[in-house]
Formats: sequence, C-alpha cells, structure tokens
Amino acid sequence: MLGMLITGFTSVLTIKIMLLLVLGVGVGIIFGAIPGLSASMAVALVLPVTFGMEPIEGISMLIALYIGGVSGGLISAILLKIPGTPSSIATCFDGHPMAANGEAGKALGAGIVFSFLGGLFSIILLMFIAPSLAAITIKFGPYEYFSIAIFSLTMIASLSKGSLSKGLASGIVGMLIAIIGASPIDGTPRYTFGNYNMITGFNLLPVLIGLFAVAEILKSAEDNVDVSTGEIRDYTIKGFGFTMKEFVSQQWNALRSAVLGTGIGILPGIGGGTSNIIAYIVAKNQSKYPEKFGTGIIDGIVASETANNATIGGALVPLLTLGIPGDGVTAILLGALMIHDITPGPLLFTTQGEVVYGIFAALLISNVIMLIMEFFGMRLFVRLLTIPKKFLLSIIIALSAVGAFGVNNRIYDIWSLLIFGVLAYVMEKFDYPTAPVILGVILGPIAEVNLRRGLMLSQGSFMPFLTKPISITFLVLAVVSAYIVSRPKVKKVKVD
Amino acid sequence: MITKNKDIISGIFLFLVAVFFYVGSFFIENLTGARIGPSFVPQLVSIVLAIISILIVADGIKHLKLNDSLEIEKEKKEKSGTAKTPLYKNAVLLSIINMWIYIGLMKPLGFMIMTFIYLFTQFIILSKQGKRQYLLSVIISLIVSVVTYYLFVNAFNLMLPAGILG
Repeated sequence: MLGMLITGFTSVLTIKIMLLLVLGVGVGIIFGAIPGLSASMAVALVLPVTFGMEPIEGISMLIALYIGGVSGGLISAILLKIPGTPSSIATCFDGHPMAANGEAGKALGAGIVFSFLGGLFSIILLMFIAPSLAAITIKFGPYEYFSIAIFSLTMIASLSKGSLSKGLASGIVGMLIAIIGASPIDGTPRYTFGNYNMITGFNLLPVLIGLFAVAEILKSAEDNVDVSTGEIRDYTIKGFGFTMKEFVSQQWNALRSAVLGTGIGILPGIGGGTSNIIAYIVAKNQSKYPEKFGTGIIDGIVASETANNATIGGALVPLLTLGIPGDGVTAILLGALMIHDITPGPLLFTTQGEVVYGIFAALLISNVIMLIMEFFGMRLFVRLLTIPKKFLLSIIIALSAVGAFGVNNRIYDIWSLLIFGVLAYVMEKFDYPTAPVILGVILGPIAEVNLRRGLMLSQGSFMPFLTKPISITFLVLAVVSAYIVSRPKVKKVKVD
Repeated sequence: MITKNKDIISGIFLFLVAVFFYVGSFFIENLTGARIGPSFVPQLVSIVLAIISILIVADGIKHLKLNDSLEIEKEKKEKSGTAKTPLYKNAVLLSIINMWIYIGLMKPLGFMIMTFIYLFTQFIILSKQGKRQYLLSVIISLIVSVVTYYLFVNAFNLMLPAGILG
C-alpha cells in the first residue's frame, strides 16, 4: 500500500496539479463560506472546466473543491451566524456566541484545526478501509448491487428532512427523470415522444446544476438577496487561537466526532449536513457540562467541524468501492469520474490503482492546503462575503449555462438546466426535499440495470435476490430503515 | 391557503404523474421479448409513486383537520415576519422568463450578447428599488460575458454559440 501511495503522490506532485489543488481549495472555501453557495454547486460548476484536462488533473481539482467547500462554511457560521453550508449548521451554535464574546479568533482557529484533523482522520481511514472493502465488493454481482441500490434509496428518503413519504416521492421523481431516454441493456427509447434530443435522456450535469444553482437564484429572487450581509465581526488570532491545554481537553470529543462523521459519511444518503448536528448533540449529551453548550464553548465547534470534514473520507468509501455516492457532492463526483472515463467501483482498485491512490494523495494534500489557506487567507475570504449576492448568483447562472452547453455542445442541455431549476424551486415550495431527487437519478438506473442483469442470469427468477446472503441482508436493512422512520416521530432535536 | 393544502395539491399532482408514466409505459416497445422488459421498472416505479401520492394526500387531509387553527396562526406570523423591502413584485417569475429568453435567443444572437443582456437584466431584477447600480451592473455584465466567452472558446476549446458576432 505504501508503494501505491508513493505512486499516487508522484502522479499528483506536478506543478500544474498543485496549482489546480490550490485553486480548487480556494474556490471551494469561497463557495462554502458564502451562504447559498455550496460544495455541490462548486463541483458541478467547475466540472466542465476539467473536461479538457487529464483525468487525474480534473479529479484532483474536484477533490480539492470538495474539501474546500466543506471547510469554508465555518467562516460565515462563526462571523455571520449564518452557516455557509448545511455542514456547518451546528458550528453556529457555539461559534457565534464565542464571536459575540470576543473570541472569534479562537473559534475560527479551533474550527480550522479540527476541520483539518477530522479530514485527516477520515482520509486515513478511507485508505485502510477502501482497498480491503473493494476486495470484497469485487465479488458482488447484480443481485447484491440491486439490493444495495434499493437500500441506499430508502436510507436517503428516510433521512432527508421532512416526511418519509415526501422523501420517497422525491427519490422516485429522480428515478422517473432517469427513466426518460434509452433504456439500459436494450436501448429502447422511453418517453422520448420521438424527440431526437431526448433519446440520450437528461444529462446528469444539467440536472444537478439546475437543481442546485438555478433553484438557488429563484429562491433568492423571492427572499430579497439585496440586503447587506449584516455586520461581520472583526477578530484577532494568535497562533492557532487556542492553548495546548484546550487542545488536549478536546481529544476525546474530537475522536468521537471524527468516528461519527466518518461512519455517517459511509452510510449512503447522509452527508455533512447531518453529521455535524449529530456530533454536536452527542458531544453535548456526553459532556460533563452540557448546560454550557450554546453559550460559546470550544467543544461545540470541535464536534461540528471535526465531524463534517470527517464525513468526506466516509462518503468516498461507498463511492470508490461500490460506485454508489454517499451524498450530493459525491453524486456529482461520480458523474465527474465517469465523464473522465473512470468508473468507480471495486474494479477501479485493480485496473486503475494509480487513479485511486492519486485521489488519496490529492485528498491528503488538499487537506493541508485547506489548513494553510484558511489560516493565512481568512481576511480575504471574509472580504468576499461582502460581495452582493445578486452579482454572484447571476454570474453563476451564466457559468452554469456554459457548463451545461459544454456537456454535448447543444442548447437542449441548457433548457434542462432551467426545467430542473424550476422543478427544485417548486418542490421546495411544497416542502419536498431535493437531495433524494439527485440520488434517485443516479441510483435508479443502477438498480434497474442490475435487476435486469440478475433476471437474465437467473432466467427470470427473483429468487437469487432473496437467497444470496448479502443481497437479502441489504433488502432487510432497507425494510428496517423504512420501518424505523415511519414510526411516530422521534422527538425533534432542538437545534437552537 | 396554499400552506394548508400543499400536501393535497402536490399529492394529487404526483398521482397524475404516476398515471402518466404508467399509461406511457404501454407505449414502450419490448424488442427483446423478455418478461421483464424496458417497461417493467417504469410500471413498478409509477405504481409505488401512486401509492405514496395517496399517502401524502391522506396525510394532508388529516393535517388539515387537526391543525386548522394552528396553521392559520402560523401563517399570520409568517406574513408579519416577511415584511421586507420588496424587489420587483414577481422577481421569481421575472427571473424564470429572463432565463427563458437567455436560452431561447442564445443560438441566433450568440453567447456573448445574450449573456450580457441576461446578466444586466438579472442584476436589476435582484436589486432593491433605488439601489439598481446601473453603471456597475453594465460594467460587470460586460466584463463577465466577454471574459467567459473568450476564456472558454480559446482556453477550453468550447464552441459557445457565436451568433451574429461570429
């Protein structure tokens, strides 16, 4: 493994890739820091720029964006009391009180250092788990893949905020979107109405950008974005902002949050948006002084920021070993890898090992770049928070149009951008979560292909889906997870 | 009113979507003759969607009866809470139309011209009254459209529609 890792490092240690990593982390932090822009959007928007690059160059840059995007949210969470991304919601709870108490520097310092440590922990875990897991998943056939896809779909629906039925409905809407176009295996056109453009179906990229970016501008048109961002607190920071003693006192909290974050990341469908809140709640419940949480103590920031960055390595486990994305960003990364002719899954470890280890290396390096940039570039990022969103969002739409057009050089894909943007906007109006749509678009075809392949192998019998041990395990888990959430509401966790 | 009937309206709509996909599945040709052909999954998925949509409507009706008074109270609160300085009245609709025109005219007029027009219009749509910043908006629109066009066409080899300037 060490040898492979060295190969990985040598493949990314070129000047061009290092520059791309710095650029990626920087742009990612900006997207993460500005409320309304997210890591998913950053990856989706930059993806077209990578089309012309070598696969490892493009992938490295997207990985850097992912790391930066998750890490940038803490800046606005602490200085503005608005989480830059859903991954930093729990960071606000103690981060803003700290800033109000004049400890903004300490809050930022702790957030940055523990983001780094959480990320590092999960990347190392990923490097150990993924290759051995891939050795197991390589034996998986269509039955197992079908069941895992079904399991993932129920997880996503059940863990998305709001009701189970609405989450499921969103997932199914995604599956229906993916059904349009040529069917898998035999290529029969479905619901194309004889339209030549529709035979290829809707391309993943415009669907994703539409759901994320276009919907965002419509929401802000409604919410009136042209208001001043509010007061941004000033801060001073010495060293890392906190003392060695404070660091040591947080070691168990950090370790627990890192484990939680990685574990939640591995589960399909839940990402940093959930893990930071869960880690915060667990830290509070396990603490000797739970009453101090929310008043501005470092513990809350450590829990939230360690967990959300730890989710990164976790979410990449199912992506790399099974080709199944863990959350919205990894869903886009999956699309990105495929555009670069890299099919994630267990085979990747045997056929394109250098790509896998290149990804590991890019992750490790980006994590370090993130640490350095957030420390030394903080004032610049804070300055960017004051750019009026009317300019940012509008420019993002224009760039989205470029990206969508770049997929196939046709205007048709820009139209789908608008269609799915409006769809996501309407869905939010009616309280439907949009994240399951994306996973439905991706998992639906995986489930269908493997269902039909399996049935071809078994000559039409459904039995193997129920008798293969791994397959039945996941189907049972799917039923159990759906059952658990359909029970009367578990007491809502108070987040204020 | 909309808040109250959200579930019922969306549930009925989803049911219609399910019916549409179910009926449509019978028009899918089965070229291979397999029992589980290309229309199997669409049928299955639309049946599941139909069931879920009925559940959503049922939920909505139950909710309607239970929380009648509560919801009205909440709605009142929400209304008083969202008293912000308005943008254009229909900023959302205007944004959609603006994007519609942008995409529709991109081919004949070209990416550069349409992006300039789109950006400028969108900036104004998203601005508060009296804070339109016309000159700044024109400058930013101009720079972004020109730089994006030449960057992608020359550096990334993307053949964006040149339109009448081409």
